[in-house]
Amino acid sequence: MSRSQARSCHSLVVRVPGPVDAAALEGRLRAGAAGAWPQWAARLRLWEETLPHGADRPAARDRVAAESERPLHADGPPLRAVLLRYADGDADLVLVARRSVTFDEPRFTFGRDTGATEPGPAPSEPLEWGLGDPGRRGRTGEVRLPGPLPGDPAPVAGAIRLVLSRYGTGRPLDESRTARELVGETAEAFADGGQLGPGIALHLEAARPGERRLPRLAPAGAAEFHVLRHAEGGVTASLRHDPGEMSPLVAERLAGHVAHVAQQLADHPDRPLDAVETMTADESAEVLRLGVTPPATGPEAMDRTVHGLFADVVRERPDAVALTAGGGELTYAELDERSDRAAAGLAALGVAPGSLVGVALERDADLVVTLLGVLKAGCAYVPMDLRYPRERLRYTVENAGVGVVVGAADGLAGIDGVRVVTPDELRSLAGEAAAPVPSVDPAATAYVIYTSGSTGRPKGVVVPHRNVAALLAATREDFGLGPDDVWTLFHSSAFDFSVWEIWGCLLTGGRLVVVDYWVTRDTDLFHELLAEERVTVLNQTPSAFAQIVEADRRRSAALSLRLVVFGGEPLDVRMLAPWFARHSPSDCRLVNMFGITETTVHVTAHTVTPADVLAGGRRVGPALPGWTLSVRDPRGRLLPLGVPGEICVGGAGVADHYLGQPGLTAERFVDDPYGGGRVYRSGDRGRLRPDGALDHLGRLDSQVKVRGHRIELDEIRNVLLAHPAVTGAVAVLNHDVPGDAATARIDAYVTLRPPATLADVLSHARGVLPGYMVPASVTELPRIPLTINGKVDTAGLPAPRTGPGQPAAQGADEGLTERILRMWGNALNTEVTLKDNFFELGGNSLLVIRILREMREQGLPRVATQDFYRNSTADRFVELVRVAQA
Amino acid sequence: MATNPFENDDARYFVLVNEENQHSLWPAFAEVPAGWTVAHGEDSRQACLDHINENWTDMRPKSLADAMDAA
Amino acid sequence: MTAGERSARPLLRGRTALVTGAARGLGRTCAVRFAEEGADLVLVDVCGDLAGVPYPLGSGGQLEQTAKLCREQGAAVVTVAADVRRPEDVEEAARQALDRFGGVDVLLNNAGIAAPSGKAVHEIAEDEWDLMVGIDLTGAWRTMKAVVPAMVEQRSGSVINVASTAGLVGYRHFAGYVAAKHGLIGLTKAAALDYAPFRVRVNALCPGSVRDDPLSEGRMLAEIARSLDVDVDEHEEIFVQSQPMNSLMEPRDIAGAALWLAGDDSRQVTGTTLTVDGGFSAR
Repeated sequence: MSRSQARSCHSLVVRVPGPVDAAALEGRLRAGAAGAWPQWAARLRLWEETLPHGADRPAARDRVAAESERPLHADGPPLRAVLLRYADGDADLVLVARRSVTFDEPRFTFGRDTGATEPGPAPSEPLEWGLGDPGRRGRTGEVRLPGPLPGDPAPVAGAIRLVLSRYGTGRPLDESRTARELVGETAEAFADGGQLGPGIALHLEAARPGERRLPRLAPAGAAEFHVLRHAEGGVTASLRHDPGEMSPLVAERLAGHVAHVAQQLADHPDRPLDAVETMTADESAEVLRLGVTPPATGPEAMDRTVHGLFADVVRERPDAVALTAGGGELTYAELDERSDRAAAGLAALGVAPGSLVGVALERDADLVVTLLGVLKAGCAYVPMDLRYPRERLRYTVENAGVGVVVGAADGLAGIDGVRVVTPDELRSLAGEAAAPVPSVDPAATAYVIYTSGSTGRPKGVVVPHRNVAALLAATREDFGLGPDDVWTLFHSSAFDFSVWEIWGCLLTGGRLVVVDYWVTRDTDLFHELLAEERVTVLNQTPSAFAQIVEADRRRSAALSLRLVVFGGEPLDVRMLAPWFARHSPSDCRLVNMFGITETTVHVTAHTVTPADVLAGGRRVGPALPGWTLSVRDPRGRLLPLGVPGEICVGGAGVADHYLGQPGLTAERFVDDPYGGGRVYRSGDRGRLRPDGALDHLGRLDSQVKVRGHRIELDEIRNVLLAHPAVTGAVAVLNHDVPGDAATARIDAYVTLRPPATLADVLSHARGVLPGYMVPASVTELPRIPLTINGKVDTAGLPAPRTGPGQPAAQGADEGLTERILRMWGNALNTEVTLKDNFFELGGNSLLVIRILREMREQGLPRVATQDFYRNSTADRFVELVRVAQA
Repeated sequence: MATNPFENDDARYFVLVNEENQHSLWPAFAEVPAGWTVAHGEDSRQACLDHINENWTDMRPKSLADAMDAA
Repeated sequence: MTAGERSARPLLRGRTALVTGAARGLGRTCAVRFAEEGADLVLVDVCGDLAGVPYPLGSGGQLEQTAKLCREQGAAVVTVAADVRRPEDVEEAARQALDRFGGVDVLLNNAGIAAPSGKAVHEIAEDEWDLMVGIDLTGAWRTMKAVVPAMVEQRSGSVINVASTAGLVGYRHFAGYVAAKHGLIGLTKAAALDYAPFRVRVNALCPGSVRDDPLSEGRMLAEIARSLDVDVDEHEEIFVQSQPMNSLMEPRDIAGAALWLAGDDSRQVTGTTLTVDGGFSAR
């Protein structure tokens, strides 16, 4: 039946004691109808059914329910009367009518059909916690609240408000008040029921004996609570819901929570609301259990060091190729030997075990050798990206307190207080000395990786060896990682995705192909590498993989991929449709992993299938074996299934602390009130599903992801504010093409003290922030617009200075210059002149790829990415292309 | 949404310490979980943070620190 | 599952089915089957003999018997006497269905006659041709016209037109029936295309030789035998010999197919012909 019919009908069931004179009843019905709607009276009749059982049998109750919920047809009479006769002589008269028809007293004098049409339901947002199934829309489900309920409806109504507030629907309640205050206020404000929140209504009625009333055959919105006060005492209640908006399981749990809270409100009126529990202890325990994935292996597998696990592989397969890099190869034995010498070199330098050692190297064989060498020396590595501005490198070195950095000779020029050695120097320092005996304590620190900090300074996450061992133990078997695999090292060593790429490969005996910087910037070259090297395990951010999907469509080379792991940013599954069209998920498995640096790279894993592409959704899967997940409210209380809150991660992956930041550590790494142990509050928003899988719903704050990079917008803001002439600043995330993650950009707005210029501000930012965090535009404002709460009114910000320009139409005989400028202009959403630099206008590596592809499509010469970077000013680029054309 | 109790400047807190000497901020209204002892408080948030910053100088887990110092 | 048991997982729970020719035979068996699966029923039959049809048709008493069997399964039932040749009858049946139940989810167009037949094409009289086509083809069209708009409104529904193997192949001296049944299949396909955008499905069911079951008081097979000049006392044995599986269809076999077409398991099936004939038309 259509829902709109059901929503616009109501019903009344009246017990008619026997013996029942049906003819007389029908006569009275007709007479009443003739008065109210004469045009229908002739067609109105009393439909009869005789049931073989008594009125109190469940079958009878089912029939009454079925008849009282059967909507009318739009073109028929506004009333239907059905007489259900029972074996004992009594009968139930079921009246279903349009809501505009009232059942007046005396009975069977029906109110005039006012002909008023019901306004359509206000379109409301789907309930975030409903977990509804759109395919099941339209059939109403009903859940009775488990009893016994308090004898008064007010605590029940109060309980509904409190539970919905905790679910995040309706107005949030002040929980410092007492139960008595809430119940009293509810009794007044909701004496006749009302709207509790978008899509959720409350009906409060006194039940009349022998009668059952349904004010609406289907809830107007997502759900309705019906609370009945019985004349003989007692209260019953039920929750009627649309399974399209609220799954039966959520409805059942919600009903249980309301009943549980109602009892507490009634029994303890003086208790503050924040002492009231939503879930029973049993349900809490169950929800906690659901978020725990037991370890896949015993503790011995997790209690290892990284280099210890590496030594296992060396023992087993010394002659297998471990690294392919820069045109050469290293076997496991060779890698072992070289890293021994690196470790010996560090010892010769006087680097004591337990120190932090900086590593600032290009991606090549020496990088991996050095990382391993640092670990073998009993130290922890602090990876730094050579492309960071010097100021940031200086900050990292100071904050981490590294005495030695292994890097290029001039890599850290101008940074004092640190000794820089090249890998070659380390090797020669080692001389003939034996490698130091490596430490065996898995609790020792393995690496410290810095992530964006909202205060304006990045923070170092300290991760011990055993967390890495646990990550391997959690994934090795499920992903089938082994010596036949070929991995790529694609990401910067300063990005913890590389921890997974390097150790995931080398500790399982695979071959690691170290990808050159320029190849990572050129999708075609990278696709070629994937094919030539027969890479089987690929790790990518979804934005980068989107480029590969596109390249794969064009290129004929066959790939050997069997596993693709997504990380670093949310995955929009719909972009995988063309991939699935060409690659069966049984041949190449796609796994979406949600992860945070503070919990050792990954937290959850979800294998993505074509069905996911159809369903959309934000599933990231259950916790990895040994990790635990829970979703909590701002007070740290566990939330029920489906209810969004902060994702908290516990278990084997939780890092030790933020380097040198005890206060911040104490705030984010908190103890678990439900079972001890430490739990990291991620600041990410999510909800737990009944199968223990997590849905990721975004951030609680202003952290954003841009092409896999974690960026605190506040960090950018604070960096801008650090410039003496900047008096106010705000940084926002925009998308040139809405919904297209690849076109994400940061735009900044500042208020300046003259005579400073925007160029000054921009170059200051460039001096401190890594490239991916430099705003694409900086716009000066007289004043930063604020909302009434004093927060930045982002809606009040004007379009960034390089605003969207109109893409110029293509002229038939456009010169080359015009074509190039137009292409750049379209990609950058702005006017481009010959003097403009692509990257200064907001370009990035993904847009470079786009331009090159478009050029190909237009028959222009192929330009290598490297050449684009070298000729990134428009006039030079045009010249480059002109020469290539000749 | 209600303010985050861990970041609420007006609320009262404890400083809890576990056997690895790891410190944690804890809202005063909540029960102290097993395995953690109260090192300071109840006090204002800033005072607790000050205590943590002054006292938690060696952030290595205690068991690790002991093992390393013995070596 | 044996006849007469309520289904543990009712396939048609909360749905309303309108069945024509419901007094006996296949109509009765299908109606009861639908009731077993939780449907409510509107049972329609001509309830009386027709001039020009040389054998007795379903009676009011038989229709009430079908209703009783459905009610025993817990169905709510409305019975309507209607001649599918009369638009006002068919419209009244649809109106009562909508008044009582608010909508129709399944329409089983089963009303049909098998005789007058037994003549070569040129021997058929004008009124004999009109009678056969008028009931077996036009009657089904008329019922769809009255009922399907309500299905379109609710954006769901399943129409099952009971045709025959005579809608797939020819039979000697049976041209009126064969033509009507062939036409019914064409009507089914055209209607399927008309209503596909509204998720209302239209399919044809082609039974082969269905045994007349005393429980359903069927007599169609006997009448067909008579029309084809087959000895009525031995017609079952004779028909069986032409069946590749050496058995006649039971009414419940056809009802099972009708149930599948009525329910969600066939939700992507429309415009097709489901043949239940023991392999007869495959030869």
